[in-house]
Amino acid sequence: MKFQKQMRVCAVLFVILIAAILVALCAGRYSMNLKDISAALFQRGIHPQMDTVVWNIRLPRIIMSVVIGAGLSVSGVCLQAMFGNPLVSAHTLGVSYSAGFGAALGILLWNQFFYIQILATLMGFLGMFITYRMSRKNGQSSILMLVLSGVIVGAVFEAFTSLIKFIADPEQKLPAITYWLMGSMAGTSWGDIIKAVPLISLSIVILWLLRWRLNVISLNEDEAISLGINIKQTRLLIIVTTTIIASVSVSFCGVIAFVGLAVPHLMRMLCGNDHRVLLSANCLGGGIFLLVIDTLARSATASEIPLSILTAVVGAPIFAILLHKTGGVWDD
Amino acid sequence: MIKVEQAGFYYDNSDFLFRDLSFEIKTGETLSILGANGIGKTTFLRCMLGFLKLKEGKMLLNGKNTKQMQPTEFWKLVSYVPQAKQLVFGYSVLNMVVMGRSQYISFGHVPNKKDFALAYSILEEMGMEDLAERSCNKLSGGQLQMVLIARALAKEPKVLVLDEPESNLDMKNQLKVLDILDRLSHRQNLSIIINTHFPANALRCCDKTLMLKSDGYLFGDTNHIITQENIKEFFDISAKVVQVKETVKSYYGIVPMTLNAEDKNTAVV
Repeated sequence: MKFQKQMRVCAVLFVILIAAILVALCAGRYSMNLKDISAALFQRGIHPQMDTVVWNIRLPRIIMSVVIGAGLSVSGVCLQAMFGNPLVSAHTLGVSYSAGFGAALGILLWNQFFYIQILATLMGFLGMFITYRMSRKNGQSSILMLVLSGVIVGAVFEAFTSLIKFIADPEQKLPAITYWLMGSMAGTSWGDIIKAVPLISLSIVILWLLRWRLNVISLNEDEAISLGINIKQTRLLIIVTTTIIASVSVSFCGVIAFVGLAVPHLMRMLCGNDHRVLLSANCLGGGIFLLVIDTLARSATASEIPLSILTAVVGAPIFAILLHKTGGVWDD
Repeated sequence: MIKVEQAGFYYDNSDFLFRDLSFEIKTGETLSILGANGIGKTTFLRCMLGFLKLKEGKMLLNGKNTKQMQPTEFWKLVSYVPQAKQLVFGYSVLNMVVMGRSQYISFGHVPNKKDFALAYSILEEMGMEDLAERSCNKLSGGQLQMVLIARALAKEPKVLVLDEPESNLDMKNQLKVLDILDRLSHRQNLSIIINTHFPANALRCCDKTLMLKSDGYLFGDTNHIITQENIKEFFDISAKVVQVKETVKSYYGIVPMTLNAEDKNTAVV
């Protein structure tokens, strides 16, 4: 596919993202029009109530949705390249499960936001560390060993999470844990943004710097080495950054399924496999997708719908239609 | 250019795949590696490329021990052409060839116009510029093998290592690959090492041949190595080497005839 056409796709995605942000600012139970929004954004003080809704509730949520959606999609596309397998996402390395376990443990023990976040992040890294150590044999870690170790680690942490659910108080803590494991942006504050956004953005930037190498690393291991790239360093960078993205997003918004798998594929269908463009496209596409989902989650019904339910219910049919149309072939 | 001294390798401590293997190839020479299935051709190739570490002996590249070379230094000199296989992600042909330049593209950068121009000119030389925008997964096996060779050349290497480049190709594509190799070695002074199952192809384009068997090896000029006696000894079959003389050049063929005596008996039983 020609570079100009890919750039056009990105431009269109950018316009859609801006439109989606505007719609998300307007939509919700406290309905506002664009005039109200611009007043709240640029002339604060006219409607204090609107200012509060826009600045303290909607804006943080929108920023968080876009950044986390972008992060999850970018990490999905990078892991797929690294493993040379289009079925991989952050779940494959066991990170989402271990981070989810951390969050569940935090709810069980303290039920305080701060500890939940710390535990989820720590457990995410622990899961990655165990996966990585387990896959190392004779000082080298092959892709097959990494996948298998990730599956093992994921299974164990999933079992631990079930154990916690089993012993949790069914009146209060069990629902909280279940809700967390289905993902939500509710209650996002500026404090969360300050903690989460720099970490995720930095990871995305590092992965973006690797964009050419991602093309190379998606080939066979021998081929990639023979083309002269530092495969160990590249892999380590990908693993660490995608782990940061996955654990941070679990620790602030719970486990959000499907984004890291579906969005990369949609983007491959739209603009081909060249990772030079694919990373930017995934940033935009992932942001749009999660923002739309979160806007639906908070405004479709009277109560909040967990994100993972919507990502699958809304995402799967779109995915299926596109898959059917393109035949699932990802060619340039 | 390339010198291998007393090389030895085993997977299992007691069982050497090859041992005390020594030979030398000069700039612009082509070496074919021949041997029965499972004898360690691919393993040997992987050792030379550093994917596996030699357990004994060493390999010298331009007089320098490859074990003491940085990977970047080694891979600037050596290019590797794997067997053509369907790709997971179908990159365009031009992108694929530009990947050969990856070594010169520093962290955070992407290939520039010069890299693309070089890749395109290599495709032009091979008569494949029409395919530049085509997806690699929409190529025939022969075309994809050519693209992989083009990618290897984009690095502008001194040594080209190919793993069974003409397997899975029809006769025309085989000849195309062999002709390109011939041209590269004699005009561009590349040293070429190919792993092959076809002694006739070795006779056609390789100056030297290394023939492997489980307890030894032969190395020398291809004409002297590929003989009826050696084929009998190394491949365990009776075969005839046939020479066809045309006005300018002679061509060779190998006609396999019968399995060796012991095998014949078991076959009858």
